[in-house]
Amino acid sequence: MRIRILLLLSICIGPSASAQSDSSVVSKHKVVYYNNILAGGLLGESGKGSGFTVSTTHGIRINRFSIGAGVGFDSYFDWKTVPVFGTIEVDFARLRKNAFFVQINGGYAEAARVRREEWITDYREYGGPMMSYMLGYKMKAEKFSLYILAGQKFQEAHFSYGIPLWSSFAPAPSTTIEESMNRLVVQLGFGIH
Amino acid sequence: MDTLENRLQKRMHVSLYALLVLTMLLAISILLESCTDQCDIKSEYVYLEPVYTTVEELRASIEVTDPDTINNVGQIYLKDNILFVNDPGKGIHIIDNHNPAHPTPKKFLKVPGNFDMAIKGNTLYADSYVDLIAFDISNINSIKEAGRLEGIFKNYKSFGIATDVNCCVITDWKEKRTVYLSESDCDVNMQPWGGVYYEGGIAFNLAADASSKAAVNPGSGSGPGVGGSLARFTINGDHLYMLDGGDLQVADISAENTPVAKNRSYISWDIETIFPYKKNLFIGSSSGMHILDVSTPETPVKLSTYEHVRSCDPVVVDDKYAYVTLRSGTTCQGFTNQLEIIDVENLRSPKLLKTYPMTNPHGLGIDNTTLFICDGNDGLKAFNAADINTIDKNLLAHYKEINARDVIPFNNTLIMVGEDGLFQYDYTNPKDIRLLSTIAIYDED
Repeated sequence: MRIRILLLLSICIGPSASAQSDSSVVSKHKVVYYNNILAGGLLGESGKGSGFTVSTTHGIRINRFSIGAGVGFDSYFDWKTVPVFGTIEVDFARLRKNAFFVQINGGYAEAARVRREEWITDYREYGGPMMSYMLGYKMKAEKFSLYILAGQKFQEAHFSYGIPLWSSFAPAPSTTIEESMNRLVVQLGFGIH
Repeated sequence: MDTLENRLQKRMHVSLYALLVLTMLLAISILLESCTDQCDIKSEYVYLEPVYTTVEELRASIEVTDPDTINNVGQIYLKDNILFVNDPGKGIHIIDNHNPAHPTPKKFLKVPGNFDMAIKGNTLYADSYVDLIAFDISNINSIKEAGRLEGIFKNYKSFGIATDVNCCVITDWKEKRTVYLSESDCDVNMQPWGGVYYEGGIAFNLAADASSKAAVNPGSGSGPGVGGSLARFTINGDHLYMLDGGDLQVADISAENTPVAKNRSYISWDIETIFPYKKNLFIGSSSGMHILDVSTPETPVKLSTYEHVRSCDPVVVDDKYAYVTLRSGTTCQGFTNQLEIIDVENLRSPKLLKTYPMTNPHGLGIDNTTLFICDGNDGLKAFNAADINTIDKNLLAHYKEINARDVIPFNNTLIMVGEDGLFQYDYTNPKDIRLLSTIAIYDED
């Protein structure tokens, strides 16, 4: 996970650095507000079930670069999460009004575990960091853009629990589980560019 | 205009689209293959590691000290107006009780590993881990060890760990915390057994809980004293009977200071309490009551077993009836909380006569027709038991503000132990039981 995050950061920092190097000309370009609403599926290995994801992002676009912030809702097999994230997007290939882009999202998600055994005690659950990198294609249609994206999403969530012992002689054992979920994401959406 | 340049540009675009789509499909297939979950599991366990002490050290550590605070109350025993209060595992508090309104602590007899006791004449018999010790208590200001049966207890509170009586015994348990880290693909389910380490065993307090039958035959002088209904030691004539695990161990104490080990016989793995009545022993277990004939003292013969649902089961007996309290709880199991009255006129065929619901009954005691029941957090209850068919309609008194665990009613003085201390009451008028004195328990924690 750390290696992936570093890789993503390096991808992210690259275009950002070039954006900074172009900062002298940024003021010459129009800064536009954009938003989008995306929905799609979270695909994992068999047996884990397929989940779904919805999110909305709002930000600004400067030439090929976009930055923004968003909030979403993700449904996994065992978890429901509400990620709050920042996003960086770079159009790397423009085809007339359309463009291929890469997008990196990172943030934190509150999490609630769906499955919960009745007999456990002292149950606690925590969210964790979220990271996704996407490859997308957007098509402009007048004031709107249509999006199609695919990529990979990482989400961590934790829970801990105790065991109800039949004897109070010894403290109950406790277990903490840090679950790292890794999903293929396919999303469709639209927004104002 | 469809020039060659435009056609080439369109073909390039198509090729580029095709290349991108193929690249995306390849990326998706690679991503999907790697989309596996990982769980890092950190489990923290506490297990109890036995601490061993050599028997030589233990035998050398017996001593009489000045009175000490009571940290916990186990068995209680009354003899010649001297009250003996067991502090489980530590020893025996000796209290002058000639005036129950002003009990006076006299000494503390430090006996490591002591949980039970009985007295005959001027000799106190007490267990100390694997040994039975006879103390001369003719002068309570100068108590001396008079005799010892070494290694007589084979099943002392070892909690499943074998004890080498010639070497060392487990005297304590040290808490050890262990963290276990593992990884999985998140398909593991939580296990209700919790992964408790049973490395080298784990301790459970198997000491009999409290409940006591009254002083049916409170001895004095050269006779035995009277204990509670939770006792695991009792004296009948010249013989001391001791519960040791599932066994009944007999010792000849005709020469008081020199007990001699006699027969050992297996009764049942779950026996808890022992109560003598005439030529019989009534042994309470979590699954029933065993009735033994000790006409031949050294070879008890089982006459019958009265079986009941699984629960803790102290018992007291009078001429016709055995009074048994059944209670549920963590160590007692079961879900039954009641008083059972059993016809024991025919000892070979005990019959259940009546049951009365209770809250969480522990010890009990009977003095003539007054039946005292320690009903846990529901307090102390006194009934007129002259008619066993109407006991529930003859509640004489109910004292709810105390936790009651065990009693000895004797000579209009009720000695009661609970979570908060040792209390003595005057029950000359059972409807107006008056508190005489209190000895507090100081919890070490």
